[in-house]
Amino acid sequence: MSTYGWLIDEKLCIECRACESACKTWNQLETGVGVRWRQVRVREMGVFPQVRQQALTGSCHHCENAWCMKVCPVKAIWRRASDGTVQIDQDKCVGCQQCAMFCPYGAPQFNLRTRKMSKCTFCIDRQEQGLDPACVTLCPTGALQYGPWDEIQKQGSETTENFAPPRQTRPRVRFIKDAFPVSR
Amino acid sequence: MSEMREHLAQLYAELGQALLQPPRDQQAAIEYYRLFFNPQGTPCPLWQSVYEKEEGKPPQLFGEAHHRALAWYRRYGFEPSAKNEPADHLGLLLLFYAKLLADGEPADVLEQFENDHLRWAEAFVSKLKAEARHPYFQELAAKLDENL
Amino acid sequence: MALTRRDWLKTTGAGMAAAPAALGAFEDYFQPAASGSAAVTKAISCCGICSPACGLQATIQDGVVRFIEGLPGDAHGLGHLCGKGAASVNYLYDPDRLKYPMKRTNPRKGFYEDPGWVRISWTEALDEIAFRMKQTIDNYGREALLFLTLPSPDLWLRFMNAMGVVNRIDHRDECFQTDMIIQRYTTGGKTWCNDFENSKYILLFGWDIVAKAKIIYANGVVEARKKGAKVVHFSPNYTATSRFANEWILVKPGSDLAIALAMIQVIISENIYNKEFVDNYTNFGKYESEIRAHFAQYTPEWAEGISGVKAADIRRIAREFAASRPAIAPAHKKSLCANYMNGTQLVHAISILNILAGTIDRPGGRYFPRTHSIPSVDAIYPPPAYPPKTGRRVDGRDKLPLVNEVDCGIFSTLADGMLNKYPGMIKFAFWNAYTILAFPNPKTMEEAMKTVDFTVVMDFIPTDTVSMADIVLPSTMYLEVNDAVARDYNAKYPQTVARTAVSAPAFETRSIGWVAIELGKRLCPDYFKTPDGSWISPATLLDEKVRRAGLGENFADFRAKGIVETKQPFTPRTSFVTVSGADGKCQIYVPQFIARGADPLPKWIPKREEPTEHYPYYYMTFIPAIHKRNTTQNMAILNEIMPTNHAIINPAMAKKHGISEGQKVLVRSRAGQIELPAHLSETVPPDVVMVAHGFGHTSRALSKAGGKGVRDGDLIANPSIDDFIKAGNFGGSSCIMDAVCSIEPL
Repeated sequence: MSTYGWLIDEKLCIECRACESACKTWNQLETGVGVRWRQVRVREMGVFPQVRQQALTGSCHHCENAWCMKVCPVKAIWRRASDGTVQIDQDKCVGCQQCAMFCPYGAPQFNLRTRKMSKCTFCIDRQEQGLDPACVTLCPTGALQYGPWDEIQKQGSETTENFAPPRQTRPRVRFIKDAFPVSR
Repeated sequence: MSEMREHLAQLYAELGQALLQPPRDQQAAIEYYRLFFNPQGTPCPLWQSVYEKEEGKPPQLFGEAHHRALAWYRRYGFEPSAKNEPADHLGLLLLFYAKLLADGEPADVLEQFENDHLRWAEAFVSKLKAEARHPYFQELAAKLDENL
Repeated sequence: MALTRRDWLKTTGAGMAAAPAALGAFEDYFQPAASGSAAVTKAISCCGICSPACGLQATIQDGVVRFIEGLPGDAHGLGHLCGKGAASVNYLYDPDRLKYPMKRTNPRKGFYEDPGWVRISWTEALDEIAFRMKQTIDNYGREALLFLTLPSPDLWLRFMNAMGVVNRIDHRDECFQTDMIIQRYTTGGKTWCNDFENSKYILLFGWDIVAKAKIIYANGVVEARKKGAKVVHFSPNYTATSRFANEWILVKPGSDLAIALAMIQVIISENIYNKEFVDNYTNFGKYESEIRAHFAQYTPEWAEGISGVKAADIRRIAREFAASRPAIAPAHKKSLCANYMNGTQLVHAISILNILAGTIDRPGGRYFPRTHSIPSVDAIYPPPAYPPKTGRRVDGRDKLPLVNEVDCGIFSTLADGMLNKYPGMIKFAFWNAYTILAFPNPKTMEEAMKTVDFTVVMDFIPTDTVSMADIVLPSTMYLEVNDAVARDYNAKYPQTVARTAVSAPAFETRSIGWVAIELGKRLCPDYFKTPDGSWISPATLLDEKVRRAGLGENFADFRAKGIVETKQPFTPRTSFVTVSGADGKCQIYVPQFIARGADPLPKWIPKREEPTEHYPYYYMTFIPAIHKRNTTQNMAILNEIMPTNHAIINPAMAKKHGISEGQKVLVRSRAGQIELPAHLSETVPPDVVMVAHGFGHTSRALSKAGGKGVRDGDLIANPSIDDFIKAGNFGGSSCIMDAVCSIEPL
């Protein structure tokens, strides 16, 4: 099956949150109930003045070995055969939050009002119209891209700083780690 | 049966109208704007989209409920005259429901409309009961409570 | 079920006002459906959250906007939007939006009084406003009118000019006013296009351009780095821009001027400036001895003492800047122009650095925008002569001739003017879209509002100012209006994008341009007629503008195109038309400044306040990328990401005072105090307290933003015009974060 993966180049992230706004508006997500399918996490490291920051956008990685799917007691999480994306069936979800506990990336989100889980769908409704996911469409610098997984997985690194080791879950993401060139 | 329908249609139309325009009495009119269109903060918004939280949708104007209400109106060949205002204003919904009643629509259609566009108003009515200070609106709140 | 559940006997409507027959009422509110459908369409427009107005596409279903994304081919957004623009639907469909004109029925005004609003018609609102304006002029003169607004759109400016409004006051002293003044005299115009992507060396003083999320600039820096450019960021704190820089260099707050002066000294004394440009296109030769003598004192060693940056590094960076060609030092907007008392001097020094680099209107440097010439309403319908603007400026701006020349400002001295210098002079105030947080010290501006007899607030969300208004007018927002918007931040060749009304104005909202015409009809009709005697209409005016600018036959034609560009090669200027008296050359030394009470060359002046025993820390404020100043906090998505502000302090400072993460602290300055939770971060030095601007809206009418956070500005003491003159701040930099403070745990 053809499936997709994310390609992230952190050094290009300008923390504009266009990816977050795009996801929320396209998917009509409610605000104020703890549901943010995509988030840019800014982390600082070091001690002043040897301080630095990392800005890392993240949503669901539709892992090859999705733990969320494995631990769901009511089988509300399933993989679409057509594109390998991992989806949550809202009707079946009972809000036990096991998936959130086992996901290393914080992908499933608990809605404080509906008491159910939801997460990034990889914008399958947009993909079906031949469009890119909303977040990728809005990213101004190309820090966030996506593509067919068989092409993406050949690029970059499997992991990056502040990212859970990928060996267990095999998330469909790669990180571009080469630095900006310096001309002299 | 038809007399009862007519009475109910009249009632709902009156309730709808009371929400769509301010009463003539000046003090009651000030209260109308304080409750529904207050630039200091509206305690009782009148539009379904603003309450649409059960389905996890964001509260906003011109949300999903606006579209669904518009679809209902159009199925019967109508549209709100105020084109730039949301179609899911409770007053409009009540007026439309009154029309369905008066036109003799069957019970299952009425029930469908109630589920789609009147059930949510319980939240509005409890807000109105809590917030209404003027007797006109306290009465209105009580009437809405009984009949919704 | 509906019929059996109800006891219809109870419900005969006793006690309710009589209403017409049920079905009659239905006809009042419904009409036959048009043959329109729920089709999905896309429309082109421009964002309006910040001035670059990035092009956007809106996906529309049944007249309702469902999704917003960038516009490919647009020179500003480059096909993208930032998180603010992408969340535009939050603005458009905010349930808190002002919907109808309203007037108060409770004559008692106060920030916690209930005004007793009732809806009125636009006709009644405009009649009342016109009556009040006329009454004010007749009784107190035109100086008693205060218009808090930018001088745009041109219809609105025309109205204010026709009424002889003396006190039209805007916020640009907190923005780029100082740079505008300096550029007029040093390069001949606003060189605010920054050709970062072709630059080899980008020198940033404090300006957090990446995190301000003006994506045009951020993209330029990214492109530059991809090509191997060097980015140097002088800043007191570590920001997203520091992350992008090759070198982040720690400086003491307000000391950038010392570094800039020392860099000039190195470049001039070592003769490493761009000789070709400097000899041919500047007045360096004419004033060489004055210039060399003046900068001699500003050695890197001297600058080290002030800024904390090692002299060797200053020297090295000056040499790198001079040697890396092309090099650029941008200086646009608040961060450099308005932060401290030495803002004017700083932007002059930075302009000189760019001149010495020889990149004025050259690839890789600061250049003048090439735009389509879109005529203003005055060019299309020449007005009768405007009356003279006689009267006193309540902000005291008449004492700063250079600021008068550019007709900007002054927010930072306004409250002082209204309360102390000219108390009671202002009788009528019209607020166009400014919130109370737009002022350096909002508290004093609240006091100033109380002294005004009649206040009109026009905005599209109900901010704090609404509580003091007599009449509230609901404004359209940018997705509800038509316009032609030039690209002027990234403008190597002219490009103009159609702003189209992707959504019909909601409820009874109207644009300020329309209000201008309606008030004009009532108060100064001769200024609002076309040559054939009919009233000017916004639609016909726009058609005419589009036609004369060559963008299309009319607006509908332009709208269908969406983007119109006139590709042409970039021809660098060889003549720099600075203010009359100059000779077509860039001016390093500005002789015209002397007669205008200003320094012909930038000199060192310190920031207004340095730490004292009582206030031992620098107070700094910043604008987070996720918000635009003080206007977007009520947008639901943005509010969720950043709902409030904190006192950001270094863990060392926290430890010293026994403050833990999230603990409430009291931050005090000589002007006021604020209470807010602390956030510990290694990105700020141990002697700085950093607070985000834009929070502390008190109005509960802002259901997302109201009551969250505190006002950073309450710690800033209002400067006076005399303070400016005494300090040499002839450009009126607003000192928007020039304060020192203390901190204690609560």
